[in-house]
Amino acid sequence: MTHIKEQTPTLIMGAMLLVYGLIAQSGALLPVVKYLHTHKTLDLQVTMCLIVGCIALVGALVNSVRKPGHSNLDTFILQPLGGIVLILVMAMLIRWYAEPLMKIISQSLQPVLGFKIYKVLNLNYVVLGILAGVLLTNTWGIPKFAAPGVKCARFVLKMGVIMLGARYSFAELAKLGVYSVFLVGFFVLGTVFLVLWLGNLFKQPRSMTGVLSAGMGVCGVSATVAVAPVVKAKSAEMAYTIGTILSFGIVCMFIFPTIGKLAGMSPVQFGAWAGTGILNSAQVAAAALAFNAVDIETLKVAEIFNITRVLFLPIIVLVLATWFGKESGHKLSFKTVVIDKFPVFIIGFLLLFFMSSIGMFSPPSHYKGKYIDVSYNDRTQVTQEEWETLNKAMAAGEFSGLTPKQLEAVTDLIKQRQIAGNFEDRNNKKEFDHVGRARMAQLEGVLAAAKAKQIELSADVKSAIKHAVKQVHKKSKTVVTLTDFMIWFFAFGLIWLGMHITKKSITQAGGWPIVMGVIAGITKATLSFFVVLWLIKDVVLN
Amino acid sequence: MFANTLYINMFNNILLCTHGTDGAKKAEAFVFKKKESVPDMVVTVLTVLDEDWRQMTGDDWLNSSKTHTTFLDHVEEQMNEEIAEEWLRMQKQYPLATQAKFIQRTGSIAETITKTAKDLHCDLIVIGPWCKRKRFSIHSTRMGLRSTMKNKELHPLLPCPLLIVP
Amino acid sequence: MSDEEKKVTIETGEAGKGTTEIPDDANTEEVEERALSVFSSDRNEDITALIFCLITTFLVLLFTKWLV
Repeated sequence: MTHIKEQTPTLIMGAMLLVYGLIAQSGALLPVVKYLHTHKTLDLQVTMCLIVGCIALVGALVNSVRKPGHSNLDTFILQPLGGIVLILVMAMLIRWYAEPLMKIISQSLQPVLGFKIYKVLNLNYVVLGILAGVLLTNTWGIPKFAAPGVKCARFVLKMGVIMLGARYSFAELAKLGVYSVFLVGFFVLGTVFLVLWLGNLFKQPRSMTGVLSAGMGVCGVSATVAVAPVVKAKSAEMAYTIGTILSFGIVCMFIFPTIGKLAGMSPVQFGAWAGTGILNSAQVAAAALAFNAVDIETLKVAEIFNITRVLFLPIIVLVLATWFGKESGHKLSFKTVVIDKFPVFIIGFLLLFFMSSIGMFSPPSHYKGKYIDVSYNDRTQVTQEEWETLNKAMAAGEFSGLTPKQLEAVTDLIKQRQIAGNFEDRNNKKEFDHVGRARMAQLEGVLAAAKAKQIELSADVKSAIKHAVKQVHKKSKTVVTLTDFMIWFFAFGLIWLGMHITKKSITQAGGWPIVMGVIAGITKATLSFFVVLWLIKDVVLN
Repeated sequence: MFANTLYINMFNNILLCTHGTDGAKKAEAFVFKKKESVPDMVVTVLTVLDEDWRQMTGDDWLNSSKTHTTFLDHVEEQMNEEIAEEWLRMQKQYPLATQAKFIQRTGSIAETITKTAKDLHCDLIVIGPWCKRKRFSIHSTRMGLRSTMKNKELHPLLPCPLLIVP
Repeated sequence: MSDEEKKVTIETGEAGKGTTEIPDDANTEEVEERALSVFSSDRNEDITALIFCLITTFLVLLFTKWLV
């Protein structure tokens, strides 16, 4: 028991997880989780806490008895264990307690403040996770026992991106790919040249404009890190540039989702805007999830833009190396820059995408994770109360403003208690399905008209129709589970991202880079905002 | 003046910590002026390469570890170059500085200063005053990171007296 | 004595070497500290991530599609 002292935090966390898991299993927490509206996750809470708790306890005990070595077991499992458990505990606390609490608090503060805090500041689990990470590093620092484990987070973030591949369809990827290549290409090159021009205008050294243009143009700190040795940047230039980019990125992460919501952007538009305008790639993912954390549509779009930018990075490195000329310290060839730096995990992303497009996760027609099932099924019926509400509304003539086709759909819904084709067509599957889907579309039209205030419907009626429509949309369980995994991977990775934003690195911002950086950054964000609003009007994703 | 002379004469192995800021330059001026009157005095000039450069890669996760290493190597190389320039400047400015010993260490500032002082058996550490930051001055010519050291961190570690030149 | 030391430092700072070398005095601990991840190379990290994802996907498929 020589190393018991270093293992104490892991032991305590493991024990606490086990105890929590057991209490949750006994049902004692039911009132609490009901209050927090997290009761649907109770099973998951129990399973996760018990599994992680056991692993943490066993691992910590083994660690405290065993002499640390250099075997694979040590490097990949035993040593990182403390950090992994720490980030997981943080993620769990945030998803199951901090986020719901934040919602409840801001709801109760709404009468006083006049707005909901969590809506304005986008305080969902993503932003809270990053904030928790930032708080931890800047107050206590990353604890020593957690340091090796924290290094695993990049790996987990990569897993998140790979898993995301399962969510695209061929058409989506093709369309988004074209958009992203054009938008990213235009704005990356545009910003790079703008900064180079500004540098010329203000008579700044080439090494400084070199790093700054890459950082502002492609993907923030990553680009700065890649380009700095190539253009032989001075130490102060690097410090100023990185500080500027980090602070600009953090401001963007909070401001972008709010502006996007105020401007009423669609998920696709916001994803494209964040993917173009925000500098650091991890912050793009954070902003996308902050805009829309339940549905991952925004993330899907933003991540495609992100990947496009990553693929643009080597090109920019080559361009800047050429621009910088012979003074460049490192000889660069196409092979060293493009092939050696090609991120292999993108191949993984494509592999999962491929598996998804051949219909591995759901039958081919259901690739979006949802499909419509209008066949007769007890599960797809509306409830008794809803049926009564609809019946009464029909009798009271509440549906008078509907078109004949819409009225027919509502009448049939009341008659059959569910959205379906005609009973007599039930053996002709194609016709039955066709009629059912048409009725669903009509009912969706009713909801849209009610939303646009063209017709007047009571809240109960609307919710009944909404429920009926929702019932025939079935999600593929495989895709739902895969998405859950992906969300956890991202949450894990983003807490780690927060842990790397230190006060010290942010406060390095200053000098000419902050002037030129802010000009270029704001120009890029504003221009891309309008271009995205103008260009991406149709909804790409269904 | 008398007190000053008396004070400095008590010490003959001085560690001068500098990184080229205006405050540090005051410390340089003070030390080399004293050396004129006390020629036997051994002066060691220490420049610390801030280990926090490691944090400067921030939340970058796209680059390969090799790119990271290349970046950090570049930082180190660049800093060595800049520190060397700084030392040259000092030697040009103060002819006596050529007799001084120049060393460069990497680490956290407070810890490195005290550790070096201990290793070299210095009996006095001289640093410059805390200067008002010129964060948004676009003409500031600093080198390296904007690092400030908290006295609170330094004081409990000190192996010998500390002189802050006003 | 002091002159010699000075010269050495200046030369190490000269540009145009083109290769990255770990300085002699850098201890391995520092190099390990620098590393971003626990993996020895990025290719290993990416491939492991991919394999993990495939295992996860396989398990998810097993329990939500093939066994249901």
